[in-house]
Formats: sequence, C-alpha cells, structure tokens
Amino acid sequence: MNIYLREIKANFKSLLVWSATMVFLVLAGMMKYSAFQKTGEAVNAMFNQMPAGILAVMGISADQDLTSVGVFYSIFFLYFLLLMTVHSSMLGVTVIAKEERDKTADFLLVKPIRRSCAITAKILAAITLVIAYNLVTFISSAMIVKPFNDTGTSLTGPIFYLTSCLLVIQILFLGLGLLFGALARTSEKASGMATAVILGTFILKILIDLKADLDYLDFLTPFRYFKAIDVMYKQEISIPYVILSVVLAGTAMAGTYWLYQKRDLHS
Amino acid sequence: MMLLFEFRKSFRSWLNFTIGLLLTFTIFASFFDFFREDAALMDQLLQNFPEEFRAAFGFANVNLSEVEGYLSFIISYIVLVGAVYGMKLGVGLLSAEPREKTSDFLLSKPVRRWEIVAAKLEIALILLVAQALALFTLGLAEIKIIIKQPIDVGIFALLVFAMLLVQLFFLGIGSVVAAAASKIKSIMPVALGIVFFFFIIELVNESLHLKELTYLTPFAYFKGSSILTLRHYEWPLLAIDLTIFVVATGLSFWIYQRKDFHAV
Repeated sequence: MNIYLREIKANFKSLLVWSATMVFLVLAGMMKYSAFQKTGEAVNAMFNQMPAGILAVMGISADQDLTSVGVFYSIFFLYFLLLMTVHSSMLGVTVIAKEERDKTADFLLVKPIRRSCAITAKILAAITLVIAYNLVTFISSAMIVKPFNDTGTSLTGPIFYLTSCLLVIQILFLGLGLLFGALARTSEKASGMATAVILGTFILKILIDLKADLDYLDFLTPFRYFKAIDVMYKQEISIPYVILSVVLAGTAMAGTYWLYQKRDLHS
Repeated sequence: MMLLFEFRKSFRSWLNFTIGLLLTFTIFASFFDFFREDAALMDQLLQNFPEEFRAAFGFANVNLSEVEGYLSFIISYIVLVGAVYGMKLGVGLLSAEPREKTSDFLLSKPVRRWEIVAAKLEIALILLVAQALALFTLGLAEIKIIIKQPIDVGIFALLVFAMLLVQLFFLGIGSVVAAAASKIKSIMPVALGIVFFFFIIELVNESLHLKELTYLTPFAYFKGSSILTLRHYEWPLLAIDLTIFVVATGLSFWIYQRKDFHAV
C-alpha cells in the first residue's frame, strides 16, 4: 500500500500537466467548430449526390451529417491517441526503472516485501493513473462538447465509448512501457525503445492510411485498432482488437514480473 | 576534451536516430510506386472537394502521384522523428550533470560555465548537421535506386534542411528547459511530451485551418506543400524559427551562468 501511494504521489504532478494539456487541446479544438460547420454544409450537399460506393471507400456512411459536433469531435481521436500513448508508455517505463535510475533500488529491496509485491503495487498505481487520465479526457470532453451540441441527442454516450477504446490502448502501451522498463538495462534505453514503438506504429498507420490494401497489417499498429466514427455512431468496438490489446498487455505485464524477479538490480 | 567526451556520449543515440530516420525514409520511398496509381485516382476524386474538407479528413493538398509531391508529404513525418531527436539532444545535454550527480566534478574544472554550454551546443549542432547531411546524401541515393525518377535536387535539399531548422527550434527549447529545471530525471518523457504537443497543434492547425496556430508550432513553419510551390522557405517563418533558436540558446547561457547546482 505504501509503495502504491508513493508511486501515485510521485507521478501526480506530471498527471496534472498532462491533464491540463488535454483540456487545453479539447477546448482549443472545439472553439473552431462553427467555422467547420459552415464549410461542412457545402460538403453535405455534395455528398448526397455521390454514389454510396465511393463514400464507403472513404469510411463515411451516406446518412451521416458531416457538420455534426460528433463527427467533428471524432477527428480528435488521433490527437488523444498520440498524447495517451506517450503518457502511458513513459509512465510504465518510469515506475519500473526509476529505482535504479535514482539509485534507490537497494532501499526498496531491503523492505520486508517480495519483489513481486512491489511490482504489483507499482503496476496498480500506474493503472490508477492511466484511468485517472482517461477520466479527465472523458469528463472534460463531455463538458466542453455539450454547449456546441444542438442536435438534441446527447453525445456523452458516444464519447464514453470512444474514451473506453482509448483506455484499452492506454493499457496496452502501459504494458509495453512496463516490459521495456524491466527489460532494458537503463531507463534511458527503455524509454528509447518505447519511443521507437510509438513512432514506428504511428508511421505504419500513415502508410496504411495512404494505401488501403495494406489494412491486413492493422493488427501491428494500435493507432488503427478503432475507427472513431464507427465507435461513436455504431457502437462498433472491434472485439478482436480489444482482446488482442488485453492479451498483449497481460503478457507484457507477466513478462515484467518474470524479468524483474530475475533482475540483478544495480544499487 | 569536453567536446570529445560529449561526442562519445551522444554518438550511440545519434546513430540510432539517424538509422531510424533513414529506415523511415526507405520504407516511405519504397511505397511510392505502390501508392502512385491510388494517389492519381484519389486526386481526381478529391479535386471536387472544398479545401477545408480535404484538410479535415487528412488528405494532402499536394499531388501524391508525383515524386516531389509525395516527398513533400512524407517529409512531415521524417521531421517529426528528427524533432524528437533534436529535443532529446537539447534536454539531454545540459541536464546530464545534475542527473548523474556529477555537476561538482564538471564545474570544478578550470573552464568557464559559458564554455561548458558552448561546447555542448557545439556538439549538438555538429550532430544535427551531420544527420541532415546523411539523410540528404543517402536519401538522394535511395531516390535514385528505389524510385528511379528524376527529382529536383534543390527541392529535396529544402525539404531535408527543413528538418534541421525544426530541430534547431527544439534544441533551443530543450536546452532552456534543461537549464531552468533543477533536475530532469528522465529525458524522453519530457522530450516526447513537448514534441508531440507541438505536433498535435500542427495537426489541429492543418485539420481546422486555424491560421493563428501557424506561428505557434515549428511543424507549420516549413510545410512541404509551400516549399513545393514557393521553391524557398517562407522568410517570416524562417526568421521566427531562427529567432526562437537564438533567443532560447542565449537564454540557456544566461540561466546556466546563474544556476545553483547541487553538490553531492
């Protein structure tokens, strides 16, 4: 319990900074909605004349109102993903690797607890922080979007689905960060590996976006696991990807225990 | 001495990032043929759409079926990777001694503090310029081998050195952050957080056409599409970029001179 509280406290300030960034992003983005709405009306008119096949290729269904707040908000999904993958993977690396980095590993290990208990406390603390960040995103989004929503139907539900998908991705990247933290010799190496994964999967996403034929590679990049519009409007959360993410995160966390158990900690 | 030490310390990560950049470039380049037909088709289709719509859904406003158009589109992702490195260098160099608790060792050497900062920035500049040159020469070779189409070398140079200019911005910001913070425990979370924040501002700027945001993020200073049409950088934005670099590095000299270092 003490370790858990300590980790929460140690990362609380950075959570505040990340949260402020998130709120700023949503706020700044929504400010621009009215301009988008105006140009959107022309697009809507044009869409109604286009054959449904072409629309399907572009991932838009014919009855969708492109000027609605929801569609506009769904553009933010990518921004959230970018912020959250960095936050959760770096958090994962830090909670594991910080003891050796700060030369406090011997202090931790002379405590009368097993290594596995220390890891459990750290992982739970990290999960708590990740959920907190997710909640900040959900609550601030729901509150900021509300005044712009003039359709009559509440968007809180769709936003909740979207942030639930984000949580899945967050847990996945948290798992990877934890694993790298236990795997690499120094925290610098671990965060380097996490950076490579984030940039690599992001660039893969761009490639697949450019060439739709490549979409069988989707499973390699979490940036393409969920489609914001489908999630929000059809409640279509692709279960295979949820399972894949959870399994990957679980495996990574199990690996973290295993590696940390055998680790020769430098003090 | 200091130069050599810093160089040896930074070389590994320089190599990793340079290889990463080249790898990214290679992958993008080898997909060009693959994309071209699709791009040409898409381009025709998109001609009918209003500009704002295309931007919001992430379609590029350059012709992806031509080499230069394609390069000017992919360069923004190359710049992103490069920017992460620039920021990492900036944050890493000046924060190294407080982090490793070797400040008193360094500061007891018979050199002035400004000489320390100068040596570190000098190394950073050498590494960044070397990286840009490596990307330029090897990238040009790759275009010859993989894409096999003539390209305008001047445009390619402008695109690659846009990365260097963005890196300078982040080097400056990073060194101010490092000089001002009493201790930075790990570099990457800070570096990645700040770079991605600016990158997202650029994404917002692109999707929503928020002209005011252009001045806020270096990723908007040297856009591939404008390099392609203008055939030079936009002078006011170039001036802003360099001013921020000069002011930021000047500031980090000033802060470092007055900093109270903790001895072990």
